[in-house]
Amino acid sequence: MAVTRRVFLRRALIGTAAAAGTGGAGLALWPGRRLPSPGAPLRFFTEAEYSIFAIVADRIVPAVHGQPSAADVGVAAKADALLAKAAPHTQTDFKRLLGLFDNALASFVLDGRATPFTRLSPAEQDAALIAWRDSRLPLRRSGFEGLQRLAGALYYSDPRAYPGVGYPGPPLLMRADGSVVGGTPEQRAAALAAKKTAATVSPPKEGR
Amino acid sequence: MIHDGAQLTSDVAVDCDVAVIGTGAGGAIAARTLSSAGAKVVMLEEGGHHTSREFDMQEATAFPMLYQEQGNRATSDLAITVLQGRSVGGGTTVNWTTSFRTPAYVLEHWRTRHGVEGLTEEALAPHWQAIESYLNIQEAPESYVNRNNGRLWEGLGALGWKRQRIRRNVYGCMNSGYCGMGCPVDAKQSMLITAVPDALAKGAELYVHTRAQTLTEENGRVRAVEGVCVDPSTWRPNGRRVRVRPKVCVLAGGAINSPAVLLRSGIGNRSGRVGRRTFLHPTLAMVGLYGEPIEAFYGAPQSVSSHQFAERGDKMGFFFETAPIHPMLASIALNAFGSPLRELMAKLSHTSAVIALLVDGFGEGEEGGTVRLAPDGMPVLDYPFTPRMEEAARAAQEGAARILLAAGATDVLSLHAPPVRLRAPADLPNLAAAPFGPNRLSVFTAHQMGGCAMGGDPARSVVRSDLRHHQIENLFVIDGSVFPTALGVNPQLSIYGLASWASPHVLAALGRG
Ligand SMILES: Cc1cc2nc3c(=O)[nH]c(=O)nc-3n(C[C@H](O)[C@H](O)[C@H](O)COP(=O)(O)OP(=O)(O)OC[C@H]3O[C@@H](n4cnc5c(N)ncnc54)[C@H](O)[C@@H]3O)c2cc1C
Ligand code: SF4
Repeated sequence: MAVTRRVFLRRALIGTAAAAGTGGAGLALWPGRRLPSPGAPLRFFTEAEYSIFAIVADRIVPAVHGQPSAADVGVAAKADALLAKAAPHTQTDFKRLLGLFDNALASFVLDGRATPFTRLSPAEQDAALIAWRDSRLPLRRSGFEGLQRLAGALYYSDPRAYPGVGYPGPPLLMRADGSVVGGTPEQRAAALAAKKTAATVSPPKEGR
Repeated sequence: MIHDGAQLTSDVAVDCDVAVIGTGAGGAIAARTLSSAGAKVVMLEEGGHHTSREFDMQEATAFPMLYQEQGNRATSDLAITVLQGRSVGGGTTVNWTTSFRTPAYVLEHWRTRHGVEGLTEEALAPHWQAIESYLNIQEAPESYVNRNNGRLWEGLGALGWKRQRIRRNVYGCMNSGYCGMGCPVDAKQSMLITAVPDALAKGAELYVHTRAQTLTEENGRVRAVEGVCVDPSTWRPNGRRVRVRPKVCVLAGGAINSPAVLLRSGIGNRSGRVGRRTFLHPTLAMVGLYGEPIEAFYGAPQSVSSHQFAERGDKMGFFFETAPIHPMLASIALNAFGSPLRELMAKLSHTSAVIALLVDGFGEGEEGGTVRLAPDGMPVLDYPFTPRMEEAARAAQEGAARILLAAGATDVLSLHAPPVRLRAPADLPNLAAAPFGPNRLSVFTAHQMGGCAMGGDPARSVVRSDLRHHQIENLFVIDGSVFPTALGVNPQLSIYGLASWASPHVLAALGRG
């Protein structure tokens, strides 16, 4: 059964991580790279986990000229705030994933590469991400998806990312009570001043 | 009256005629009908009471506020992203307004294969009609067909496949395209602005940020609903409790959540069927790129659909619609990272999408997903990928690709990691060669069904045809979890109709029938 197999693999991988945590293997204890602490206190991540996620996010959505980077929009801080409110079992799974992702012993066992992810060069980090994405182990593919989606979602839901994708943002709409929503602050102010609706079409009042 | 569990300063205990757990499609219609008939109704809703004033059309606002698990719900292996509502109005606050009656072949299948009695088109028609007029369900005028849906219409036409304009529950729609983030102008006739306020006006009480943790049973009856209040800043219990002692209990937390309440309570599962047969309309998508702007972020999200392949004999069927394309969901769907992600996202405004929804649950021995509890008591859904699903998924992706190519897309991409790119029908073999399996490609669900299946056989189902629990006399389940299979159409109208149909049975159980 697929499910049982998954549980088995999960045990196997977590077993590796556990061995890594307790064993004398020096590799397992090789700490990853740390970024400077974020400004605000963390609610979910440890500082090490924050660094891992921030470095991963920077590869998922890499810096390009003229657009904000993952760090600019604070993807890792957003993830911290979001995950702080996640269900306990989700939190546990995510912490395990990050630990495994940056664990030198686990990557040595699985990929023959004995360096924590966060200490690799950007090109090597991309190769590591691809190894997770294309892995025959469902758990690793699932880990890749978890990281890819979270980083991508938190970056692209930030209005600072909109210009780079050619998205003008929400249209300006006027509600029945005369309040306005969407558009830019200037558009909203102008609409309120003019008190006229900027709806994309005039609402038909058929029916009822 | 609305009470906020996040603000309660002491525990609450209330007695009432009917406790309704959940304020989505099923719960709200039941609460409205029952309170109109004079019953004293108390509703519990885990999410908050958020209104159009807070709906700013930003994904970053809407998903954490209005979706289960802040928009991060997924199957246990993360292979299927589960979009499901969590606020007053449930899924109806964020759904895309597409409205279909339950197809006749589906009702017939339930009758012959699951022993469902009395749910015929004739019996349901008056309920559908009443709901259609209540929620102003009408066909979307042509001026509401945006370019994203227009491409689907043209592609279907070019291929000679069935196509139809969709009916929507809107009134004064401004054609914005943001139904999925809560309608900012109250045009969508969701439960948030219709049945829930109607029930409140008839004297119903509503406790929000209040999760029904367990039901306690005594002598084959629900004695109390044990509610736990939740602090929305941490999404953890704040220590306050709401205990409701109803004469009759209506469980309407939706698929995944309603089974979880029964599993947590450890009651009503003699058959072992609670949480089994959970179906999702697993949804695949293909995207098309064009030389000219599509702007699939604007305009009514869905106005065109095709049921050409909904019934495929012994094979799993599927149907085509579109999805609105906003940046966050697009980045999740596109299974890319690094510069490929940046490049694909840069074409967002020139992208259209065709989604294919697989009609699961009709195969011999096909069981769908299973809800179980995590150690913290929250539901987890396992949904295995099967060969039957693979066959349908491949056919559906190929069909979607053909539609987009026929509609003039210069490039068509799958949601595989990494995407498969097609430029002409001659490239279709590349799609056929791509791997299929969990976490190989993006799969979504916005339609969760089943888990408390109705049926004639207490050993194979959870509730009877009248939605009363097989063993627990004063417990009804009235939401999408009672469907014994998927629906083959978007679920909301089926759930409204069923809730309206079932409400007299609840009144009868109250002794007011
Ligand atoms: C993005 C999106 C788009 C969709 N588009 C369409 C569409 O266009 N057309 C269509 O027909 N359908 C659509 N759907 C699906 C449709 O909205 C749902 O099928 C429908 O709302 C399900 O109704 P329900 O009564 O089963 O549960 P829901 O509407 O999900 O309501 C259940 C409610 O119960 C609450 N709840 C759960 N457990 C508890 C508990 N223990 N205690 C207290 N409260 C609890 C939940 O927070 C939720 O608010 C869409 C769904 C989504 C998410
Ligand atoms: S498309 Fe219409 S119903 Fe949907 S959010 Fe915009 S105005 Fe509301």
